[in-house]
Amino acid sequence: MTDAQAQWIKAARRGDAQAFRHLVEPHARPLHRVCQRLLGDAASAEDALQDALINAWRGLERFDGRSAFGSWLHRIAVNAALGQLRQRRPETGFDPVDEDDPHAGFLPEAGGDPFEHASGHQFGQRLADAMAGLSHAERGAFVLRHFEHYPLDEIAPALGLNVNACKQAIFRAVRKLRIALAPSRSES
Amino acid sequence: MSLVSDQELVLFHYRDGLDPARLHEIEDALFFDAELRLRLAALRETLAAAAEAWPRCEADADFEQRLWQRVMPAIGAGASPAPWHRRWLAWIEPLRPAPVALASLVLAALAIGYLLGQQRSVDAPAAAASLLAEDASARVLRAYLAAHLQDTERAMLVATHSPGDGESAQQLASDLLESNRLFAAAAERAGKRALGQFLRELEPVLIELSNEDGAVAPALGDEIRQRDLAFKARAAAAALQRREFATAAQSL
Repeated sequence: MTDAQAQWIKAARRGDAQAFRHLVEPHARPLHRVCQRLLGDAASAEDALQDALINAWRGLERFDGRSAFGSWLHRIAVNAALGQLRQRRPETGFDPVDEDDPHAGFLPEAGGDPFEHASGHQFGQRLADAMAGLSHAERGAFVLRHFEHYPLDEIAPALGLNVNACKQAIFRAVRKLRIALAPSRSES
Repeated sequence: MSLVSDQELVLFHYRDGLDPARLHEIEDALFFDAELRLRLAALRETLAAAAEAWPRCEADADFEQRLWQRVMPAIGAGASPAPWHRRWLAWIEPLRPAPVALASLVLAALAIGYLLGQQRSVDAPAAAASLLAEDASARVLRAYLAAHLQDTERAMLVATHSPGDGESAQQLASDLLESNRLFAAAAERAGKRALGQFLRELEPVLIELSNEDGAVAPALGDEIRQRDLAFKARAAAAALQRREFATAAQSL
């Protein structure tokens, strides 16, 4: 932690909202990106970030300096986004993943890599459909593992799952994406 | 047909959720099994394609203004985060231990533990005291060091996986640089040469990351990947935490 950061934290703890703003502002855009990855749209990400910053302000007393301030803030933002995710539409029962063959999902396509199967708008639409079909746990677990590099034993409690369920959620997310990106195989 | 399931392959890709023995088995299987290598390559292509196409919606130019217009009223007027006891005891603020002072305290604790340890053969009660001091100081050091290594891993992963997000990696790395030096010195003084050497190895990477402006240079990302530094940092943090767990279990 820099000296300046320590000073801002000290001032913010005494109730100086402008000091809190100075402290947090450099992190706002990266945090918005994290929330947006989890929630899928900019407006929801902004709502989540607003909640996160208010929670951070209220919880500033609990920041003990053992981790970097940015990491601490990152976790609060992820929790706020996950909270929003849980409040969303109920999960659908539809699941296109075939669980019969645990070894067949990642066999390479005869026609080449996933980039070659679809391109441009078609590719983006398939991925958007696949993401819309992910459950909250699948989306949260995949984003946290793949983009935010959280270890499984941190993702699981954040999502209210045990570690095995968390592994399953990531695995199912990857398989759904695989199916969406390789339509020729799933259609054959 | 390979005996490695798709789920294991996903976990292998992330180097997470598999025990070290199984990781080695899969590494061996990859060496001998061409089909397994193709499956792993296909998985990685899928993940790369998904990551590439995952919607990126950059916040617009008015984002900060809009955000703070909403946040400031909620935190500004009469909503001080400081509880009454903190305001009342504000006069002791200068005594709060800064990270550097805290690290110095850890070093001092290690030194005391070491010095007490020198008298072990002379005096039995002093020996017990030295063991306790050594144990307590080492546990404090291990806990802080594990958290430090996890943060370092995160900075390197941001640098390698989101090179455009250089600001995040830069901020994280500059926060970590000073404590990395202190931990390296502490490890060397405690006779943990391999750990000290690894921390010294991280230092130039943290310096480069903290000097990056806007985006991480591809060469730096390549270096982190080639030397597997993020994985090594995670492994070191996990080893420290396992040792902490074992120590705690023994004391029960």
